[in-house]
Amino acid sequence: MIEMKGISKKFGDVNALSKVSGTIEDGNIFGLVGTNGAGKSTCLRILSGILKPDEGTVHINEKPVYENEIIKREVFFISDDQYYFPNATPKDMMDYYQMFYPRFDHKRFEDLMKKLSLNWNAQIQNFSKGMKKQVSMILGICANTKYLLCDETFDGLDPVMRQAIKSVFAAEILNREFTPIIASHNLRELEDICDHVGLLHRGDMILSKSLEDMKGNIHKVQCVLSEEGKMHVVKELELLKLEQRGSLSTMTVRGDRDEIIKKIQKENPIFLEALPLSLEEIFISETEVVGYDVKSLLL
Amino acid sequence: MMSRAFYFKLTMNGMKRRLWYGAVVFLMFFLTFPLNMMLRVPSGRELLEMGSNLYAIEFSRACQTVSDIIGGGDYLAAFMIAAAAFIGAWTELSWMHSKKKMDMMGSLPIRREKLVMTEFVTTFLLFFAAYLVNQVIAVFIGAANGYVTADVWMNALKGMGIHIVYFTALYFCAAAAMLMTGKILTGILVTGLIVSILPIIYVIFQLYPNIFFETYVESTAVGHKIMDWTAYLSPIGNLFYMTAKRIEQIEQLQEGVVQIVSIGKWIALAGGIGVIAFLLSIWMIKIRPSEAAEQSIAFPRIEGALKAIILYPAALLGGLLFLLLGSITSARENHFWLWFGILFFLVVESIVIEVIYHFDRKRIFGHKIWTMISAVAAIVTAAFFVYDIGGYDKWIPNQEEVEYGTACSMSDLWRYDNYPDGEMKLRDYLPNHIEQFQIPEVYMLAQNGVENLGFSNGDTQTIQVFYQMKNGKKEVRQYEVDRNVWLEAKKTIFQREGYRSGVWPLLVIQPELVKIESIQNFDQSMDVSSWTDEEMQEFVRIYQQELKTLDYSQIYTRESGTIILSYTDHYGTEYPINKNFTATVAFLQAKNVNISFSLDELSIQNIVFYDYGYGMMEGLYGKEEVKEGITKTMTDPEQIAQARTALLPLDLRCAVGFEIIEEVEYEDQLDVTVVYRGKNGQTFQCNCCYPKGMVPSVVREFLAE
Repeated sequence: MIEMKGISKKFGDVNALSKVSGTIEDGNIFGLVGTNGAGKSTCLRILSGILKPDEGTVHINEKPVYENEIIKREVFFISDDQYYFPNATPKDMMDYYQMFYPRFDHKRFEDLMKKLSLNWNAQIQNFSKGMKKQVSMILGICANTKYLLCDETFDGLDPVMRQAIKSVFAAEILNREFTPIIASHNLRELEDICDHVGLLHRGDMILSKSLEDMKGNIHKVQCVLSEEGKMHVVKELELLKLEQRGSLSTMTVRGDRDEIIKKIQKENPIFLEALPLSLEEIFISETEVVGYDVKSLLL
Repeated sequence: MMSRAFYFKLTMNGMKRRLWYGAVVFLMFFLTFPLNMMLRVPSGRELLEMGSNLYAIEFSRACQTVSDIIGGGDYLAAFMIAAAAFIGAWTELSWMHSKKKMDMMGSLPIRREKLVMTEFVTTFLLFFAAYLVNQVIAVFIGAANGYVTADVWMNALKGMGIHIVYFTALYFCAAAAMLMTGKILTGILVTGLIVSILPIIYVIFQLYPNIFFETYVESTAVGHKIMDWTAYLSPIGNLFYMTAKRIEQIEQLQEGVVQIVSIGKWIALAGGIGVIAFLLSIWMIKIRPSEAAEQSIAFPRIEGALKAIILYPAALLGGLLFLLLGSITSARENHFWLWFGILFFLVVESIVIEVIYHFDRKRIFGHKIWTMISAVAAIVTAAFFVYDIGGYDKWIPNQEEVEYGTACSMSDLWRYDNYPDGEMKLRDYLPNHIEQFQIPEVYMLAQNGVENLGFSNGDTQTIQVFYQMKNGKKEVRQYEVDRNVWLEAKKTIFQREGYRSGVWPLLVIQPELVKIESIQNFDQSMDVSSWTDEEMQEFVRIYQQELKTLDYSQIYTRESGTIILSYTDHYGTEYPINKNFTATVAFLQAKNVNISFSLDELSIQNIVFYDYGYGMMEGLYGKEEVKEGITKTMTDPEQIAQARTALLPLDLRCAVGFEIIEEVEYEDQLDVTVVYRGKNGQTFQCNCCYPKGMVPSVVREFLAE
């Protein structure tokens, strides 16, 4: 388990992180979301032991991370622009990482490289951006560390590759102790892979919840009601948002789904339908509650 | 905990990745050792072609060169060691200057100091392999040419050991600079700063007193030897100074000298610097923030202090630069340009440093407090020297504080001779033997010098005054004393046996050890080659006795010849001879060596005059018409008879010639060469001069024709 308590980090006059706290449970795929400059990369770098927080603590399995060789052996960090040695091939990088990560799966690396049609004897500097990202993901997965920190790694991958990686992640989680933490500014990308999401904004963690909790607790309902019925519903339900288009009301409501439907049905709606909420909509709703107009923050 | 096998693998991996460095260093040491050896050391065949006369000397020289090259006594090797160390550190640690690389290296499960140490080992092994292979090749090249001595391998081992110490020290100096900074360019600049800032500040503190203190004496044995201090203040200076000493040591070993010069102190000093740099590097790696990558200075808190350290000497040097430029254009020293230069450099350097730091025009006037501190320090320092706030020039010690005091003219101090402790110049011998030269007149002379400060009527003599203080310190001052005061003082000074034998060490040498190089008389060299050793010794004995007992005014007369004597394997030294050396002259006459002391005795054939003309061509601004120098030869005997009346012989070497000129001023715009016939009928030339204001009218008319 990763525990962050009151982490702050400042670069000159810029507050990259401000008293960020949170817990990342093992076995979850954690998505760290935020706009550019929100502090996602800083947060990941602190978690991987590259940066030392100005304030606060980061513990992995109750041990501090920074300059801790034993703990860092359980963490593999993939940056958004991964560095490779000049003229190095994927095999050279594998040999290098293998020294540091004793559980590195050499055979699996070879297999994955073949599956993705990447030549492990070719110089990485001649690869495309996407291919470089693939190499970095494969290195990270084959290092067999408990935690894999990916900083906007998915952004450079094509949809097919993204799906492939997601399925690899799923398999890894099933087969061993594996907790990927993925930073991205793209909610839609993370929606179908992450089961826990945290939102960073201007160095502050304004939301951190499991998707199940979020989705289980907020629902979107479209209905057509009389004015009187509408007033009753508004009073009875915990309404997060109400949009009116003509007579059609679209409501975002917090609470149990069945109970919400029951209460609306009492008012004899002409039309009633429960709609699935996207992660983006859940976020918007949740963060508007805490006072943020998040629409402008997300893509 | 990482295992040894892990570090071994990491080192091997690093070596593989940095093979390019190994290749570069190999090439560098190929130039340094094998190629250098082939270029500088003659082959056996070339030696034989030089002939048997030169064979032994050249063979010895070649052996010395071989030992120098492989044994740590070669400047090229010293340069390459420094270059290899710096390049190694800069490239090995450049990952700390890149955010991208830092992300990768910082996330690895290894402590940073261990990573840095492993990288040092990698670099060192590559350096060592290149060094060793090339050194061995050089030894074999030397051996193939016949220069195999019993201790060649020991010499090579010593050289390698020495260079390893320096490589390590310089590597960590550069590593400290790289850790202190976040960009490679600033890392290189700070490396330069680390190895040069102290010598630069030291040189400034030599230049300022030299320029502004009238009585300041530079570079004497009293302790102002810049080279020595550079060895203390800079690891690079230390390396090159040690190399010079090592060359001397190897030469002494070859000659079988018993007490050889020691280099242990310099190597130990380098080792100490290396240890400090190493510890500093390890400490900095632990506290260095990873986010320092791509920032100019890794620790923002030291930016101000670093700026102040750079600005202070830069401002002082800038002041001197402008002072020099201002002096070219104006006849008098202009302090305005000094102050202008200081302020100009303060402002400009300050801006440049801020630009290097942040490259942000909004911050070009940053670190104001530190800038002010260095400005005040520079101005106060300059004022201290310009206005002699400390009273340096006027200082005369209390007699109770002085153990010994002496004075000596510049002409005597520049005398070359073979002094007892191996020194070749009196200015190096005297300061270490002040007790031998001590004179009570020193305070009177110093007082006269202080009274003449800032004032010169041209009729002065430059002397230096030395004090051996009771607290162990030595002090020296240079004064312009009234010429008549000095000359009067000299008459009693030279009566002291210690002073006399100090200036003329011939007086304490056994005659058997003295050889007569030549006896010069008006450029004519007297032939003494037929003398036996006993005759030479007798001559020397007679001469020594007279030199010891004659009065000063009897020794130095206008009409003198020169005897050149030598009593070591090195230089011959000149001593005066004139009519007052009656026994010596009588001995020479008995040997049919007829020495003339007066120009009147010469059979002058013609006199050649070179008139320099008058007026100086001005410098940068404006030119004046200059009468060009002319050469004319007088051959008319009647004119010659009139022209020779006031002539003085000028062609008197070192000690004698200067002393003669002390008594009279001479016409320095008119060169006179007398061509005369010797007793054997051969023609000789003698340089002469006229005392000031005594050029005969016949000469003026002749030149005006």
